[in-house]
Amino acid sequence: MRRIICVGNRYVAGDDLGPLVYDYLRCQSLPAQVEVIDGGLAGLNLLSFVEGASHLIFVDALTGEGPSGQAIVLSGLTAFNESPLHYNHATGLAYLLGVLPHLYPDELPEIIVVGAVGQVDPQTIAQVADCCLNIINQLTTGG
Amino acid sequence: MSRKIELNIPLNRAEGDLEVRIALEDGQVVEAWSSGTMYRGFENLMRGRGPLDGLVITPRICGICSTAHLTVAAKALDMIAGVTIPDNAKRIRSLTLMVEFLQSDMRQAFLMYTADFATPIYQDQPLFAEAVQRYEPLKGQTVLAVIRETKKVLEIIAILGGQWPHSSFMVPGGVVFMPETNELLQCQHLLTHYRRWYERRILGCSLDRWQQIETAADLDAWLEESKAHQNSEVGFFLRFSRAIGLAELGRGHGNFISYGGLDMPLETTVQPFGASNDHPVTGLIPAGFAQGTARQPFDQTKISEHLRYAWFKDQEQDDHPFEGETHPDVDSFVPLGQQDWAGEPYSWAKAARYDGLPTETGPLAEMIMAQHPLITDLVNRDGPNALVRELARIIRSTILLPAMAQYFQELLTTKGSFYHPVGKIVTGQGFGLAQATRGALGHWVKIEHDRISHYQVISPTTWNGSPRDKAGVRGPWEEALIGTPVRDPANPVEVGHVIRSFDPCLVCTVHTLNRSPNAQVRRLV
Repeated sequence: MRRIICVGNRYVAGDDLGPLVYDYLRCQSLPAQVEVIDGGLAGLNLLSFVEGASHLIFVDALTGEGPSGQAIVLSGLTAFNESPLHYNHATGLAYLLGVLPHLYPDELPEIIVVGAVGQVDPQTIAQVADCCLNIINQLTTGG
Repeated sequence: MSRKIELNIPLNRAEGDLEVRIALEDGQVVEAWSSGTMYRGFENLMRGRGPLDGLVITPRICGICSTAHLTVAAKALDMIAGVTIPDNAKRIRSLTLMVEFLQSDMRQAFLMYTADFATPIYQDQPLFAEAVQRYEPLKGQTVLAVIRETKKVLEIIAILGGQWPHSSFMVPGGVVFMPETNELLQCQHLLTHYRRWYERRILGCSLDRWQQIETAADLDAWLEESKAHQNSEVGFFLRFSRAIGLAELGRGHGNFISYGGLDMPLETTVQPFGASNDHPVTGLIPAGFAQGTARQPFDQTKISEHLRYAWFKDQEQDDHPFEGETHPDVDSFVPLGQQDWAGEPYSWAKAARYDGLPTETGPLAEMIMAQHPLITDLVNRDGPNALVRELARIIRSTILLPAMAQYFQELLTTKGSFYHPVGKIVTGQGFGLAQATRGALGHWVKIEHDRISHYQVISPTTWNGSPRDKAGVRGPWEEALIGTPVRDPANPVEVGHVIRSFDPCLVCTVHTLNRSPNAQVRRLV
């Protein structure tokens, strides 16, 4: 199973990329064995979707340096800020990505993060969503 | 000559919107202010909505204790509707709330609290290397085990309530889901698995052996009894905490409040805790107010909220939550770092008081109200402190797990309703009170003309993290900080020990993924 997990808060500008990409992808035709998940702010509760997946694509808003409004693809395990990550009630994707290799050292799915920095507009949403579908298609065709 | 310095300490690891300011003199905290830094205003969001909307909206107040908010929202509507829910609904409501306790207590203790034991400030401690092995963020053996096991046990709420967090399966009159036998058996299996893990890893002994510990001396003897006890999580927590003097931190006012909770079915073999002729109880956890360990009956009319030091209008207000209002005073708000904390409002949290007194809540308060023999003995001997506050949280599961197993057995063998029909709720007022994971949680609701006209929420952190009241008396954890020694003002870990022993929860914050400069960019599209 390949899963695209879109995370973020649709009610907070700047954190809403994931939910908006989820809305977009829900209207697309997806290959078999692909699930799109509205991950919201579930943080560690997304662990259930890690299990049984061969590939995971997380979609989230990104901060930091980068071209604004363009889809950016990161290798999941290096995508988070490497400063010490502590669990708290607001634990989100960064903590999840940080802990996954330790929780599943022998059966970790391939993890990719797709996001964008800066303003979210319809073109950015479509670009990020298409990027996810391109990755899925490449995985499906072995490309 | 003494040297006085002041520090602002953002406690973002506890929550993203709590800031504590302390004044140090001769290496000790001599003054403390606690500031909730975010206005939420859920109460105002509720006004004008339909009577049942609180069942959907208020669980979103918190992603950790959403079942507790749902519980009290439903109880308030039960009261307005004048309905007594069936026994099976009480079992389902209690079971889901207890699962929330199980996961939160373990995550708080071993992902949040003990993470401080693995910081370099303790590198000279003989147990430091083992603390790192257990508690290092993301990697510690205990950290990983707790994440795995709490993930599994939460599936019980997902089975019984549809999802966790933010489920809405409780309604006035009961619950909306009648579990089938196979679903109950699945829950039983998950609970049994969790109990075995808890006994093996957290306690290092059976629940039956643990229940034999009734005094501080018994606890010492238990710790000496075997390597399994010493190497258990409770055993290691006690050994490390004693080595760093945790019991000498965080005394506080010594006032405790529990709303009680986990309402008992009329017909059950489960026995409530702490019942006596002069302290009757209706739930597994008793309600009460205590000074030290001397408890008194609880009277919700004695609850009030003071606004003198909060950024709200009507600053002389000290009303009961049925009368109190939530009007933010943006004109009095001063951004962080620019506040004059002496004499001026400094928090978005109101100051909850019981009979005019600052009062702490949480597992320690519950144990005192239940007259738990070990915890009562420890408090009588040492006074309240950070160690016993945290220990009460870690061992709360020992009183929950047997009752949970019995409730599942009763659900499997007892036929009965899960819902009593309720008519349309048009007018009335009611309150829902319960113990949430962090302590006393209440919703006070008024319905007029088929609409919510008034909604007030007092969360556990409103009690524990309150600012000063109109008399200038400090809130519970402000008071608990007084006298705390701070070895390194640049890393005041002792302050964290005290505050986190209350398990603070203000709210969840907005988070985006902070892209690492070292991230491996695969491609730009």
